[in-house]
Amino acid sequence: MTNSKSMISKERMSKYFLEGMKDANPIVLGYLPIGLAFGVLASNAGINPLGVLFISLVLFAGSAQFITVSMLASLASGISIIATIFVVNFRHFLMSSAYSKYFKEERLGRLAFISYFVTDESFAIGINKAKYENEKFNSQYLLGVELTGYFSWAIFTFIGAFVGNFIPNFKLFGLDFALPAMFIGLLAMLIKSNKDFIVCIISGILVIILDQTFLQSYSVIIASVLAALVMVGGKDD
Amino acid sequence: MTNFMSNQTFILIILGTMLVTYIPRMLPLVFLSKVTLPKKVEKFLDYIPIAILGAILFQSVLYKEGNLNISFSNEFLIAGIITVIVAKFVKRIEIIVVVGILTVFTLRLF
Repeated sequence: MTNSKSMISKERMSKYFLEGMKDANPIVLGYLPIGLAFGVLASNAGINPLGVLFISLVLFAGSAQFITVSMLASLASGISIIATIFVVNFRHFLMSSAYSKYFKEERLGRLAFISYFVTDESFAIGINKAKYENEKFNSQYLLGVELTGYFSWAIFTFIGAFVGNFIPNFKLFGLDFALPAMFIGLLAMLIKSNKDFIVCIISGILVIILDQTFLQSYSVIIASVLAALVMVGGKDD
Repeated sequence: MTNFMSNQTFILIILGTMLVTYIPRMLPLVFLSKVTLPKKVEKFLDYIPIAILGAILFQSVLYKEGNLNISFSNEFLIAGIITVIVAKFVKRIEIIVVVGILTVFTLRLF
């Protein structure tokens, strides 16, 4: 009895995980050109394929990895690199906060594990599922999304470093638009009301304005906090 | 692992970047999930996904080669507008992504 029960729950778990892997397909497509480009850039900067793999597996962050490599190559101090990456990646704090209400029942150890892999892309997919297909969303699902992104990123960056400048120019195929297109599709699903739409536009305009100021490194965080606050400031409905 | 610094320094720096990346990724999920937040905070957090993805999207389509470019010479902006229109009618992410890619591909032919 207990045996068959645990078998069923195992089967369900892998079902969620597989669904997450499937939903992560656009991420894989989008990571292909960027991952290869990162590998090429890093190897041109003097980092070998093993070093590239190490960065991708340990740091695992898109734009932050580009910044890290260019700072390493210009022999910036370790402290300044680490401080910069802290600022660039702090937006994950907001994403992780937005996830928190969907994981009230989850074990702390598992939460500590899934949070390692939080990225803009997996968050975009995961939060959609959590909001609108909540019955299909759990930590297994999210891990399916996250690990698919994680390993495809590691592999693409590694290949990029190996093959170096011999890789084809993916810009020719428009593949570099895969992630922006994915964000558009996922935003279109998230936006259900006029208020949602207004938040999106305010945040978008604010980020562009902030980018032109000394607050550039914090622009995404400040813009999204301010845009969300505008709606909270209003009357409760 | 690099041809310009010792493995030890390289590994230490990358571990440092991992630590300052992981802590903000982890703390809210581990701690906020175990507390009941005030209604206002919950409401605020409900708007965060749209706000943050909106900001990232604007950044990714309004810049071209690192410069702000709000004109029709920016193919990401044109493709972005077309993709938004498509996304209003089509709800399948794969289709939206493929349409977006093909739009950019086509625009670059000219």
